Amino acid sequence: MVQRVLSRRNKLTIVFFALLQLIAFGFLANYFQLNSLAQRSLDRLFNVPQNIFAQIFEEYREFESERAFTLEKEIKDLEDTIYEKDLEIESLQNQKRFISSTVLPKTPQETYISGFRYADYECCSKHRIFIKLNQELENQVFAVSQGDFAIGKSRRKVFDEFEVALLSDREEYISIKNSKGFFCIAKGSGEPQRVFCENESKSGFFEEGDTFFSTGFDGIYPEGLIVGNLDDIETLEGENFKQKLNIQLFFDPYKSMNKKVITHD
Amino acid sequence: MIEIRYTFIFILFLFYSYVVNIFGISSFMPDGFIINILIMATFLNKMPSVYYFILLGFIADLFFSEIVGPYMFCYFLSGLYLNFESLRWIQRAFLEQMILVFILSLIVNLLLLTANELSFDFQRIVINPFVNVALWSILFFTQRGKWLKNI
Repeated sequence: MVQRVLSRRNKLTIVFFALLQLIAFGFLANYFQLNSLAQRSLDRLFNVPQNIFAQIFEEYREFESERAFTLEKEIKDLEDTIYEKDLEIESLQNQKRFISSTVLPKTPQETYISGFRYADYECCSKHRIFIKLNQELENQVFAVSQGDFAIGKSRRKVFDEFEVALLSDREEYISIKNSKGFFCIAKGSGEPQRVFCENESKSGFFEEGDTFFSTGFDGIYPEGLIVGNLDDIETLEGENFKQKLNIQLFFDPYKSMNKKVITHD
Repeated sequence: MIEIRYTFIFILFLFYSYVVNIFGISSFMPDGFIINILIMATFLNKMPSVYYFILLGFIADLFFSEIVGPYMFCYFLSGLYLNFESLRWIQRAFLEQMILVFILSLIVNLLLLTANELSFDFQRIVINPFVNVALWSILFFTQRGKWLKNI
C-alpha cells in the first residue's frame, strides 16, 4: 500500500513541531508533577471497586451473624493491639543497646498509612507508601516513623496525601550508627526491607546482629530512631579494602496498612 | 474517527500494563505499549500523525514511568518512522525481521545455556538478542537500497 509522500521541507517542519511538543509535554509533566498525580489516581480508581466489594461482603457477614462479626472485629482490634505492643517490646529491647544522652525529639503528629505501592515494592527500586495528615506541617520534607522505628521521609504531596519514600528506596539515604560508635551513611538497596552501607576502614566496630540507629546528622531523621539489624557483612573485591554491610530493616510495609505512624517535622 | 479506534486500542493496553504491574509479572510479560505500536504498524491501514503518537507516549509515561520520556520518545521515533516511509511493506517486513531475529536469538541462547548446563546469564539471554537486532537494523538501513534494486 502506498502512503502519502512527504517533501523534505514538510518532514523537517513535522520534526520541529514534534520536538516542541516533546519539550512542552516534558515541562508540563515536571512542573505540575503529573506523573505522581496520574499514578496515584490510577491506584485510587482501582481501589474503589475493591472497597465496594469489601463493604458489601462485610455488610452481608454482619447480616448473617452479628455475633460472629462482633467477635471478628474484637479479634482484629486485639491483633492491632498485639502488633503495637510487639513494636513497643522490640523497641525497648533495641533501646537497651543504645546509650544516648539526648532525648528522642517527637512532634507527635500521629496519622495512618493510607496507601502502599506494592507492585513497585516487589519488582522495582521505588518503594513508596502514602499517609494522610490531619494538619499541615511547616516543611514538605519530614521523617516518618512507626513508634521508634524509622520508616522513611516524605517526597511530595499528591492530592491530599504525602508520598513517603521508604528507607529501602534506592534514592534514600540515612545517617546511622550502632552502640559501639560505628557511623555510616546507609543507602536504600532497592530490595524489600534492605539498606546497606560501605566501610573502608579495617578497624570496624561492628558485628552481625548489631542494631543500628539514626544519628540525626542528616537533618531529617531525629537521633535515636531504630533502623535495623546488621545481618550480613560482605568483603568487596578490588584494590582497596571495602566491606558492604547489609542491614535488615525492622519496618515491614505489608503489615503496616492502616497502622499508626508519627511524623517528625 | 480513526483516532477513536487507536485510542480505544491504546486504553486496552493501558489496562493490560496496569494488571501486569499489579501482579508483578512485568518482567516476564511483553510490554503493552510496544505491542500497541506493533499493532498500529502492522494491522491498521492508516497511520495517525506523529503528534498523536507523542500524545499516546506521553500518557503511557504519566502512568507507568517516574518521569515523562521513555515511552514518549519511543512513540515519537515509531511515529516518525511509520509516517516518513513511503512504502508500508518495508516497515512491515522490517518488523517481521526484527521479531524473527529477536526470537531466534532468544531460543538459541536458551538452548545453548541448557545444553552447556550453565547458570542464568543475563547478558547472554537478554542483552545479546538486542545486540543482534541492533546489528540487523544497521545492516537493513544501510543495505536496503541495494536490495530494492534487485527486486
